[in-house]
Amino acid sequence: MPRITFVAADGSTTEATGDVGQSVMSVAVNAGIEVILAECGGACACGTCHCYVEPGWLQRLAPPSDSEAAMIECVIDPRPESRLTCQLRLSDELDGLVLHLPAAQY
Amino acid sequence: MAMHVAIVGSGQAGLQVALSLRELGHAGGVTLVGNEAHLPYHRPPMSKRGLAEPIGADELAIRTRDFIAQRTIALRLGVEVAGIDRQAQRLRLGEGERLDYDRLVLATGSVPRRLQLAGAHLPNVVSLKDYADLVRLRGLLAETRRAVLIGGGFVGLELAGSLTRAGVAVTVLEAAPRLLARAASADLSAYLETAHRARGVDLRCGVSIASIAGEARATAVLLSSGEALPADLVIVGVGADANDQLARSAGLATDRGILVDAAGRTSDPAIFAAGDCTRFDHPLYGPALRLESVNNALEQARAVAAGIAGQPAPDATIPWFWSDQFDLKIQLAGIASPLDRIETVHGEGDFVRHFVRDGVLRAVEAVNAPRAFMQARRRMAGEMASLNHMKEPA
Ligand SMILES: Cc1cc2nc3c(=O)[nH]c(=O)nc-3n(C[C@H](O)[C@H](O)[C@H](O)COP(=O)(O)OP(=O)(O)OC[C@H]3O[C@@H](n4cnc5c(N)ncnc54)[C@H](O)[C@@H]3O)c2cc1C
Ligand code: FES
Repeated sequence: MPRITFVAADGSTTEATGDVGQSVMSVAVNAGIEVILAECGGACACGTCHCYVEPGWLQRLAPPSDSEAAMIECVIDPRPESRLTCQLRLSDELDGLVLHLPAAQY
Repeated sequence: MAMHVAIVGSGQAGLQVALSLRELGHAGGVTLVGNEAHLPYHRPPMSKRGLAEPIGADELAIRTRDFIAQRTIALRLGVEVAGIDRQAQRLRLGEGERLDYDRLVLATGSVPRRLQLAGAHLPNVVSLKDYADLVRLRGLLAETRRAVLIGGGFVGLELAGSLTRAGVAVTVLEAAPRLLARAASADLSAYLETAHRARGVDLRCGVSIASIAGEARATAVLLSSGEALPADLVIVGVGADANDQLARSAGLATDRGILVDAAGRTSDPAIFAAGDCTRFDHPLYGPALRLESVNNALEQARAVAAGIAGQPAPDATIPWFWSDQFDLKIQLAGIASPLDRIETVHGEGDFVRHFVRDGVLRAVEAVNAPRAFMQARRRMAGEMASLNHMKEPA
């Protein structure tokens, strides 16, 4: 079970594990991460599951689809390391992934 | 004053009212009563991924049980609210139990319309509204080679995609002359009709259905023309009505939906309502508007929480909606009207239309054009903000 560390905007961390194939959004929701709102339930339609990928991990992720890239342009404070957690699938290679959470999604 | 807020309906809107109340610092009790046994869950994935993937109710849950409990929200799941005593500010629950409230929120959603047709009661004639329906539908799928979908709405068209991909031969029957006649422009309807046919759906508009044939199970759908369409599964998606029955019995103002103001207040100052069960006035899209969307449920829920917490109602926003059908990612914002001038945006995705009136972008419809859609949405949000600003007293 790959392990993910979520780093909140205030620096506090939450560790969580999930199953291979599960979306990172669903791991975050199960871990009770409040700022992952995921209002569209993972359809890449709302942009409220946004996070920043820790430098070093970004290249190890499959690149975003057009649709994810378009949604990211519209989140608060988009950065080159922005991703939507509902579009990231857990794999064994992602064991140890570190994600930084925004302070808010609106 | 520590007020007790009771919320009826543990869906998208009901849960969001509870969570927003806590975010706003509401100190009194919050009780969320819902007649479904599951934690509040996302409905949209059911018609999109729900047939191909065996998603469980827990995976659809919007928040975990712990998350909700940590915010001291009392969950009463599997409990039906039978009536409201407004004088005593008290709910009547099933089994004769009572629940007092200082503020009440109705978030009872919508009820699928039933077909008044012979055979509509047969066991392989289903609708998709609740998780229980999804379980029933999945159970029927194993024996299904041919499905007839009655009604060409968004959920029906999503299911047409999911079923076709599962190897089922799909026929969609729409009574109106075109698909999505109330929810989409004629251009988008025409685009989707072509797209569904190209992907193997036998799509027929303007048809009238005589009955569903079969003894123990439905075996065919009979058209008024005399044609019989064989089916192992019949899915009915002919729209839904606001579930305003509790409100009506309690004598609140309703008109095919609970009438609410911008703060979600009903005609009783102690009672609010949010989501699919309401009707409200929108400054751009007209009086007595009723929407069935996640976005609207959440916006109204936040407005209700603000109203209960004594804060000003948030400004009106642009409604938006999405639908995934086959490989088609459909996105809508605003509401197109025949009074608008239509502008076709070329070179962006598969389909983009702007709906403009008096120089104002009032709606956008897009298929596989996420960037153009988001640009239009942002422009509309900006225009809406200046409209809200103009209305503010100097
Ligand atoms: C299959 C499907 C796909 C959808 N896809 C999309 C989509 O892609 N995009 C989108 O924006 N929207 C979509 N929607 C619509 C969206 O899910 C709804 O608009 C939204 O759930 C409305 O939230 P709500 O809280 O008003 O109602 P609901 O989520 O329906 O919740 C109402 C709850 O109240 C309960 N209830 C009713 N009466 C009582 C009572 N007397 N006592 C106790 N409990 C009661 C109901 O059982 C229900 O659990 C879809 C809906 C369905 C069914
Ligand atoms: S959950 Fe909506 S975009 Fe990720």
